[in-house]
Amino acid sequence: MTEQQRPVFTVRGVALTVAVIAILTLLVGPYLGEGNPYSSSFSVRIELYREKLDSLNRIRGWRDRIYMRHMANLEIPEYIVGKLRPNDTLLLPPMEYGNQFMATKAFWVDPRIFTWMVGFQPVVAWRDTARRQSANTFVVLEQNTIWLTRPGGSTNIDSLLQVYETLGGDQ
Amino acid sequence: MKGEVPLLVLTVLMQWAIGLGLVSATGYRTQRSTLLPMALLLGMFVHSLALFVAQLFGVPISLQTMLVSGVISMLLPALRWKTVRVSLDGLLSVPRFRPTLYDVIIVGFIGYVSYMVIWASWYWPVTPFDAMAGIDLVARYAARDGMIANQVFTDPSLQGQLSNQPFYAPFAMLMQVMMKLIGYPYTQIWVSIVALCFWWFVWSTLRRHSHPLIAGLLTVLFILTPEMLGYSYILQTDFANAAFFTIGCVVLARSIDEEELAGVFVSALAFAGACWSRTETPLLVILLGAAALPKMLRVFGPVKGLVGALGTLGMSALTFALWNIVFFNAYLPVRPSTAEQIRGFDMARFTDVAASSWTSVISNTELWGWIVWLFLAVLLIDGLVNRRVAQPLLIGMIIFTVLGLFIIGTIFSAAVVEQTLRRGMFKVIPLMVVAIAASGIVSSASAALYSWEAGRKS
Repeated sequence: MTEQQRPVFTVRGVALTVAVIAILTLLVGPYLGEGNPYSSSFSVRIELYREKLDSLNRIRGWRDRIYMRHMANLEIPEYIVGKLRPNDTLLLPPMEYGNQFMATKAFWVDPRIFTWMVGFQPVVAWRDTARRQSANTFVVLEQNTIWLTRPGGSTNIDSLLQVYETLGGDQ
Repeated sequence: MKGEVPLLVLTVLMQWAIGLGLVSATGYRTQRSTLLPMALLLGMFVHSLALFVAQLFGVPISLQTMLVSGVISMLLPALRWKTVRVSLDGLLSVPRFRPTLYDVIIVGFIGYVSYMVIWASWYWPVTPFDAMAGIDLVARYAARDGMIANQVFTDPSLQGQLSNQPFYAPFAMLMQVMMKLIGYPYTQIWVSIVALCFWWFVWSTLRRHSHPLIAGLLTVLFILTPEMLGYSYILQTDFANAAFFTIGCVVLARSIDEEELAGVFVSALAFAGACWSRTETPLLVILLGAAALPKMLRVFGPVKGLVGALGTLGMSALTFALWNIVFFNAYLPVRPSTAEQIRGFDMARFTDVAASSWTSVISNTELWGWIVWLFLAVLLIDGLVNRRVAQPLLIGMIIFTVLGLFIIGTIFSAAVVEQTLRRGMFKVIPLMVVAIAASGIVSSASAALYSWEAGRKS
């Protein structure tokens, strides 16, 4: 079909315009209930940001924007890096261990995500069984608490590794 | 104004010029509203390819390399200047807009969504796990070290932990590199540029087939497709892949219909871009090539038809091989375990994949809105009322693409129905929208609407 000339302004054109407005309103508004998949998607993916546009635009720093998206998955690597000593090699715990204490998935335990968040660090992934023995620093998580422990410290490393093992398996 | 904005504008204009030059060098003639978005998308692909080739020759990645590779790509089509000039004739003529009120409403709505999409792609940092663990991680160190084969592939902390993500087809990664070189270290602003061009291309294609009001509403339905809307500003490989794939299919179908061989080369370029943006796409291109081959042979004759088909496959194979064979084997110190993930074809598994894809993905209105059901309804009504299927080649392409996705789900152990095949549907949905607009029933409705609007008896 080739595009044909249309009258620019007619009563029928106005009627079609009203119909278009009605269709768009029904499509993105809450009027059709559960039967309309577009409304909820539009609300979450577009309207949510439009409503918060001004307040979000006031938050300009990159660290803040990354934090808003990744929360603890950014905070924990940042905290850990701040506590690492020069000769430390950190064992990243299995994800199941991190998941116990986080509302979202503990992606930060993946060495690629850890690197994305804080750059290259001396870390060993839990799944890296070949290099696991070289780790000398370990992450301990409790409700709202995180600390690093090293051999000779107050935390029993063997027990901690046993917990890692139980939750994460040998993978 | 900060320095990154003019650089971004310059880069986009350069990519636009690359695309316009390349498309016109083939001698392909099309409407300006189709050419412009298509040219920018193809220009992005070719620019990323040029940057990659520079790296293959040992040139470090930098802003200068990016700009010089862009300029060279822009100048290459000038070798066929006469053809380029003829094809681009009229490009700069004053457009004759005669918008109606409802056009303004539809454009306004799409403009609003576009604004939010551009904002979100600029404002938010990279979010999906896959992109952080692969595309963006590699891009960040490629921009910093000047090498794609960078510390990500050599650092002991990541040894044996890379999985597939850093080895994804390189288009998205290279676009991220460009954005970082320009001065956007964390955003994915190019994703929204791709989305806008893709929407524009689909809209212009729909307007070729149906009344502007129907085309506009179908475009809105397409843009608002729940599962796709988020990916118009979130970094992943699939949205850009779908854009290239759709251009390839639409231009190929049109070229065959209009017996214009130049279009086959443009579609080959688009399919090559699709293979440059997702690794499993060559399989789909092979299937589509096989589906279109009989008609190509009939329309263009045995020699030209075969050359067109083989050229399409060849260009797709070339971009696939550049990354997956040449770069992996000659440049990267480590390789993905893709071969280990390939299983033999098994009919029972294929049936399982097809069944679970249908129930959990394809038929799900929460993912695709009403488009799949609308497509099936239109197909059924066309079959019953008109006793024929309009655009059989396009319908064939949809069927073969879906079959191809099922095959991918069957033979790749890493292809999960709920993720890989779900995003694979990005390639099918726009084709379904075009097929709806081109159907017999919508054509009849369009003709009736034109007549009613003009106060004529139909």
